[in-house]
Amino acid sequence: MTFLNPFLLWGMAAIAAPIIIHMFMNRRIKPVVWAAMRFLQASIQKNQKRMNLEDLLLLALRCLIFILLALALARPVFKGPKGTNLVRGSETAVLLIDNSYSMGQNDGGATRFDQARDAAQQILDSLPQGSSVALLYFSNIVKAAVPEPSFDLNLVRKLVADAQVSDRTTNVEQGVKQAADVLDRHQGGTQHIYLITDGQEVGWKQFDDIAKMLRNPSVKSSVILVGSTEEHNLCVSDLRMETAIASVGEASQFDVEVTNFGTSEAKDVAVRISVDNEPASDEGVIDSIPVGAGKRISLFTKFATAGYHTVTGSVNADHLPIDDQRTIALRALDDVRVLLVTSDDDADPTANATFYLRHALTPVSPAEMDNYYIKTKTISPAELDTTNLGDFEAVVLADVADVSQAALDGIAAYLNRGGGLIVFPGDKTQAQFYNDNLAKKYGFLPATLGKIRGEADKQDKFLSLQAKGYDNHIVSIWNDPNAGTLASTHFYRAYELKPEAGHTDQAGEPQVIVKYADSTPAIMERPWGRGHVILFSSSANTAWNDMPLRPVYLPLMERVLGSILDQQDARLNVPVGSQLELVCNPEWTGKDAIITHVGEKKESGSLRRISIVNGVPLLRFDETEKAGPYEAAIKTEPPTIIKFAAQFDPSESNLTAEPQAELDSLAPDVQVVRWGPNAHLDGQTGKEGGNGAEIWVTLAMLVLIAACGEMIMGGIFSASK
Amino acid sequence: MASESKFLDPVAIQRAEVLGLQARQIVEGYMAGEHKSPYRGFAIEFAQHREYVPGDDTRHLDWKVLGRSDRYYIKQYEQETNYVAHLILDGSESMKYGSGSMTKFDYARTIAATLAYLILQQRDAASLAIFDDKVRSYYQRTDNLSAIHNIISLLANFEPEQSTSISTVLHDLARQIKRKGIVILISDLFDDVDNVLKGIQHLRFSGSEVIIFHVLDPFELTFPFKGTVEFRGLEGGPKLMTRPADLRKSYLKELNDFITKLRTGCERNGCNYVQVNTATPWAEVLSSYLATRQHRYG
Repeated sequence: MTFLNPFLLWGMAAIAAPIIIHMFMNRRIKPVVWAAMRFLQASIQKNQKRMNLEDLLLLALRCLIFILLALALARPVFKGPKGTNLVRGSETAVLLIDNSYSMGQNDGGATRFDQARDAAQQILDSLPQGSSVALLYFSNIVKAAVPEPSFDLNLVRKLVADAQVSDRTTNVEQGVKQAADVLDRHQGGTQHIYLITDGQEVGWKQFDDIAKMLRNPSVKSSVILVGSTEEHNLCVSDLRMETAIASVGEASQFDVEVTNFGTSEAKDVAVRISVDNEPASDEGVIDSIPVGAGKRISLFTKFATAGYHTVTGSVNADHLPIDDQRTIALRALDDVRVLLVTSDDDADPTANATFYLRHALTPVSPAEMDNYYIKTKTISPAELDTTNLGDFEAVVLADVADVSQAALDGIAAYLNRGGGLIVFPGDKTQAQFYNDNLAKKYGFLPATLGKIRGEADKQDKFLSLQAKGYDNHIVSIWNDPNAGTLASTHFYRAYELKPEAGHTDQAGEPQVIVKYADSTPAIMERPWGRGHVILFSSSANTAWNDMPLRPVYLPLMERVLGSILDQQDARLNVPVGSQLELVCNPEWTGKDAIITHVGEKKESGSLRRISIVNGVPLLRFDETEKAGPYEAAIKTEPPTIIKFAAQFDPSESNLTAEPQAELDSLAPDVQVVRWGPNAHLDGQTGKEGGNGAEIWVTLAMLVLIAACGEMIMGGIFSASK
Repeated sequence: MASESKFLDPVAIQRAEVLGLQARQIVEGYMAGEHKSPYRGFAIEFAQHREYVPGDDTRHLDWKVLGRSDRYYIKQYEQETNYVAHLILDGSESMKYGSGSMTKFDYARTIAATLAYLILQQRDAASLAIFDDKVRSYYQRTDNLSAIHNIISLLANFEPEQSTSISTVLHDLARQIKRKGIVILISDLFDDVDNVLKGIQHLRFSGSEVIIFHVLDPFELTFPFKGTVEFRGLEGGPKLMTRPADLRKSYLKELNDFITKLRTGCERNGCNYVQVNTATPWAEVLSSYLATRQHRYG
């Protein structure tokens, strides 16, 4: 026998109370001088023995009440031998149910989550009388349906029946920790954690920590495993636009990555792409995907209209439907405006710092420039103060000596709203000004400008860009030798870029886009606020390098601009459960937006208001629990539709189970039960040596009976005789 | 000297005055509206005639009235001193008990003083004996009303000190009483009931009418104590610690058995048994006495 609250056994000392009271009462004697002693004496002689016996009986009964009460509060548990079918004491239990999206896998009929629901109902049915249950769902977050143990098991049953699987990933540790916390707060009954999960390996990454919590000797733990091995499971693990800028009417390339999480090689995998849930616009076949590998396929589509669109890449449905398609949101543009700022006022236009850049961004004849989707405007630094930067998708500072304080503040506000800044140095660039203001004070630049390397007129000495290993998305196309090479470019003169950690809250981590062959940074980037900054180490024209003369210049500049637009569109794509934060047109401030998950009824949409946050008009939305496309209908005239998408984490699609040996190692402290469709948990989780029989209820009843007996006997004994 | 100085004690005198005044007030209050001498007898002074009824002594026939009117009338005379009342007062320690301000002895001696005053006022004779295990104080027979002061003084200044032996005293008194009269025993009678009854029987055998005022305190009659109580006997004996509430029924049964036996014994011996609760007015006691007096002497 053990005690759940052994310290309360000290309560037995309370048996001294009736004895002390008895002695105290005997001390409080009233003396009476009496005449009729003969009758009293005769009466006492006849009754004394009986009275003494009654006194002893009452005293014993009162002591017994205190002993039983102390025992009941100490909650003794009788542990029988293994397999003994003891009557179980009441439990304080936590039903911890995995609702990550892998639980949506079905075997052709019921899903793993359906099985988990059935298992939970069986557990609830098998709980002893007087048990209380908390109900937690866990994925990468824990949602408490019944946060504290409730005696209303019918409520728990109803909540279990109504439960839905989420589109999140699994984190068993987090769930078990919260379940343990719940039990910490509720010490009553045999404490029991029922963990119902599909036992995915990805959810048990912190196995040792989980095992430690489950092996807590004061808490009984049962792991109920549901689901079976899945032979075929393909996942659309990535979808990205490879075209630099999605423009209206132009073919845009999308790469769809499909990963085979099945147990056998996938062959002839059909992959489709569609826009705005329309029929597929392109389809391709991946011949073979080995087990555990991912393969990409490029598919094309066109956007008929400018504005927000969703693009969905999909494969044929299998037993885990959620990962069979992936949706991203983006903007198709028919007008990309770029502001070019330069201090150059050379008579020779080709010597102007922006000459090559302007032509690279609008590589069409002057007659066609107005119809081309990228439009540039060139201004002097002085004009920067009065120009509304919000009219431009990107701002380029090319060989600008310095800018005014007002311009710096304007750039900060522009970046904070999601703008893009591209900086090229040149002969006129005042490095000290850039370093002091743009790099250190505001933290715009990912690096300070160090010493200048090389001489522009000594073209026999030059720096070259790295020849391979392009990790950054902007330059990744040159990993393919057929796309040309960056390494052929000669840089005669360049600033040494010294990465600068951000000194402001808005400044993100500096990243290198591409390096020189000597591994020093050539182009760097940094997120700043909601915007993005790209810093080149050399000039935008041929003053310091021959890059504008190289074939790579045009695609590089286009990809740099596309990267900035991508960063802006990236905010349209959030992981499941994350908050969407969209910078809106300032004219929409104060307007309401109804947000719905595409496919759901419009009436079930959520209402949000566009409001100013730190000077930026924002639409915020955090109910992105379901993966897939969403629409925000802003109440403008006519209504404006913004599309965005929530992305599931493909790691959850890996249904590989935690090795059985690992799970078996939890025994005997933890019960691990495999639940099948026809399985019954009675006798598996409810009849076990570790589960003692609690008798506090019996003891409490005995206390009650003894107290009643004491009252009745006291009444009878004290009746005059 | 000791007794003389006692009578000169101002406290003793004051006690006696209070007791005497109390007795007088009781009697006068009770007798208010009554005729001076309601008791008729056969003494010297003629009082009235009444018609002869069979059983009357023919010696008292008024022959003159018979000769004149041929009617039988009996002559009646006012009586001066018809009988002797022997007041026997229990002065044992058990009489010292009183749940209120008045002890049983206080109550008993008030009765004794009252009766003495009434008896002497009505020209009967009275004697007084105060006893415990023997007669401690005695006032010899007197029919002089002025002697009442001495009697009251004796009563007022007696303090119970000894334990009781009623039967011994009753036997002694039975032997000493020469003239038949009324023996008035005022006591709680806390003694062996059989011996008490034997003593009473002896008194009756000597030809006296016996009135027994059985004086009991209301607490003795109800035993209302609560909690744990240590009872200490007034006449010695071991201390008894108990919970009286648990014993009430049993105690009252013992007491009632005692009273019943006493009452039955008294009735069997032709005695008038009057149970007196010290919480009841003295007047009721006088009624009991006068009823007995009426019954005995008409």
